[in-house]
Amino acid sequence: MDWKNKKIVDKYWKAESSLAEEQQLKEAAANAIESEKGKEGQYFNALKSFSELSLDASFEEELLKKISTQQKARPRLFSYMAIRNIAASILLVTGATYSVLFVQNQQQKAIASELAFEEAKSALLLMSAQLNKGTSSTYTIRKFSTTQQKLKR
Amino acid sequence: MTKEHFTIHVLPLQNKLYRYALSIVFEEELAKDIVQEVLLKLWDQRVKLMAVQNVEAWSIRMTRNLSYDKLKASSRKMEDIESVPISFVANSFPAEVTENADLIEAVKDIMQDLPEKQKEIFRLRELLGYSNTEIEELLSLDHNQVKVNLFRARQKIKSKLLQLINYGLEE
Repeated sequence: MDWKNKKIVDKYWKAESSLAEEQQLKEAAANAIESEKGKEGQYFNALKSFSELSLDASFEEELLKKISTQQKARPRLFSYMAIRNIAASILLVTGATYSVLFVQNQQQKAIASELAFEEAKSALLLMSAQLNKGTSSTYTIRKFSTTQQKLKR
Repeated sequence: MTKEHFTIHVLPLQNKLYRYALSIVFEEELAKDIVQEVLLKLWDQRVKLMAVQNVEAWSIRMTRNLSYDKLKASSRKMEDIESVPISFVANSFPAEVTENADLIEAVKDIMQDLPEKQKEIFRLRELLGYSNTEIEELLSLDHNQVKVNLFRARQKIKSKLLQLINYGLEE
């Protein structure tokens, strides 16, 4: 006796079958006598057997044990990621502060040198003005001296 | 997420994740290691996991990524092994063959010639029992892409089976 429903098998190969129909096919293939399965039957049987593969109970036990061990382990105040983030933040803040201070320092230096320049300039101007005044006084004295010598003669 | 919540909502995915990993790496012990690693990672990320809408899809993606990483690593290891004398390699393989080895080999053989996208859809539909709609969401594909790729994958497998049947008849 044939194990398969040809209509569903055709739908299967055309990718038009539903999951329920496919399940039906796989069940039928699994229940068929080995000699009547043929290659198609073996194929559906393989799919069904693979879909039923599972992990044994020891897997879950071992996993839960590992989870419990992790939980019992002393809780870390900071995870690696948190420490990394904090270090990056400190670096960023330090860098930014240093940059601001550096810029401020440069600005203050620029202002100070500008002030010094202005003061030197005004001092030089004053000196120049006084020198000019001195020159005119010298001229007057020289004129006075010349006139005095003329009178003596 | 409490341990209880994790046990109820995440741990039941273990067999699905195992079959999925196995359908990528085709090695039982490696697939077990992958599932264990994925579940421990999910436990580590339990706070973040509370915000994840579809934990199953998230777990499947994690399993896929880790499986391919392990595959890459093991293929690199195999390249190294190939440079070692044969007698040494032969002695390092376990003599015991698992009872599922034939089945795993058969599924590997079925999937062997499929392109990667068809393989992925085949895994999710045939081995994990996801519907086309779920596959669309898992792989971010549209309805037609899933349907066409599933159709092509099945057609390839069908012609392979027919070849085997014809070969058997000619014998």
